[in-house]
Amino acid sequence: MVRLLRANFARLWKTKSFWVCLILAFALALANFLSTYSVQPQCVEKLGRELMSGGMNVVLFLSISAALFLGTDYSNGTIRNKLVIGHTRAEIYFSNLVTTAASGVIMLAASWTGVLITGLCLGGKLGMPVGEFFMYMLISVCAAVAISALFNVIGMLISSKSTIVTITLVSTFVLMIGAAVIMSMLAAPEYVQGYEMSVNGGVVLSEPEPNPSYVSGAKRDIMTAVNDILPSGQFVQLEMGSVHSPEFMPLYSLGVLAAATAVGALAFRRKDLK
Amino acid sequence: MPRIFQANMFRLRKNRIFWLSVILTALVTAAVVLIDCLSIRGDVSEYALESCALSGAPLVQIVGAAVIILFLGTDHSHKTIRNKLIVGNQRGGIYSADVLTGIVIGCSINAAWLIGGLAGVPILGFWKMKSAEALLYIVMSFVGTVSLSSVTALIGVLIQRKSGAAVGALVLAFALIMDAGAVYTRLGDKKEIMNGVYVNGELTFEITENPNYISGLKRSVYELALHVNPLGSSVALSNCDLNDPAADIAGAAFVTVFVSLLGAAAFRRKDLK
Repeated sequence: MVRLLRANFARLWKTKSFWVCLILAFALALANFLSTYSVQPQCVEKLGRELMSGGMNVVLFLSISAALFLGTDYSNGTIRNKLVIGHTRAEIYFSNLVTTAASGVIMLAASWTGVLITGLCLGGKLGMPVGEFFMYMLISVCAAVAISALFNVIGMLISSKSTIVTITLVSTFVLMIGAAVIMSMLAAPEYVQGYEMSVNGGVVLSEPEPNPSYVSGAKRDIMTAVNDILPSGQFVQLEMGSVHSPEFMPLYSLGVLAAATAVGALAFRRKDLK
Repeated sequence: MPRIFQANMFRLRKNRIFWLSVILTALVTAAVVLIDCLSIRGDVSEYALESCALSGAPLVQIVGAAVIILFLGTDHSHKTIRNKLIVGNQRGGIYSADVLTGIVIGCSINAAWLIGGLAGVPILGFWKMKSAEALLYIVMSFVGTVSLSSVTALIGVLIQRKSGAAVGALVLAFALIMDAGAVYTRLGDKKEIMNGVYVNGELTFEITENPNYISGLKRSVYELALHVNPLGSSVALSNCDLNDPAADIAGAAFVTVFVSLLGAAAFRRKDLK
């Protein structure tokens, strides 16, 4: 497996799409930060939060890079060569998982580096306790690894490169938009208050009324759990600065990683490679 | 061109990905609409089915773009495109047939989405808006689809690598959704806002100008950007808020014609290797 990893990383360093995605992840995070800074210069006082706000962009670039990287193994027929020279299917699966996860963490680090250096040069401060900041970094890294595991399942079980790319990207959009929709639904207040005319002609606040858009009961519990467990939900929570249960999130990501890898590795063992 | 289009349709009828997408779009939409309807609290007569059924309009366009790119990309990956030229077909004819096929794919998925949205009829009844307005909304959903399909077809025909075309088309569709959403939100800012101020310990309200309100030439540019964006009308549809359908139709028609002419000209000069 060490030789497979070496070969994968040697290929990764020479893959143009990986470098393009890496540079875009770096540039977009920096551009977003500078755009926020131009409107709100005081954002450098909360650099920790700014650093955590680019996770979803990294997921998008990771999905493109991972899908193209994994699809090449099938389109070039390399996967069969690996089997022919004696590597097991499990080794191939895990080496691809490690490579994809590593590329995700590298992109995440690249997106942080540009913002951190620029922010510090502008006299920025972390703006949160160091422990909390490292906790958020851990959540981001674990979520990136978990989402890489999901991409790896798609990349290892589908033989057509273009289909891998399409399904990975569509899944990413669905995960991203779904997480944002769930987050906005959960953020709706339980009661809403409007304005009404008072008897003396002034405008006063009306009595609070139950908000029909408020999600309650079992549906709220399910939506909260889904948003906490899915890596995309974790990234959206980090981006919005309202993390629900930070201490459990790395564990949820490990759960997603274990479940996706178990399903993917078992299915890949039985896959007909033609 | 008619023969190439017929051949494309023949291939489409046998395409598993196309049928799977149509069926899944209808089923997933039906499931989402049913969950939405079942989770309504209080008096269901206050709710309109169209607000649940139309909420997924932009996402359906992404599904359509994905299927179009996979279908058209096969022509390049199987080298069929050169065979079509060798037997005497014109490049303009091939391109037009591909654009029309893309539109058929997009419209089929759009129709499946609209049908899936009817799953809430037993709970909420049919759409509450007037028939003419409902028809306009349905037409507008197809107008946006036609516009995006022509853009996707351009990418599918001009980029020879199927995976590269898939990345290009899907990222573009996503960027268009994000752009349409941002522009639509900015245009939705109210001109005047009400601020609560404490005067002598008493809360009073005053109406002030919204500093974020876009006006003048900048507003016209924003409106134009929304009308020519193939997903602009989809974002408005998902909020059941079509303000200027005539401008949306004109914008979509302009994009469709312009992109198709541009694509045909570029495809005529393309080296097919």
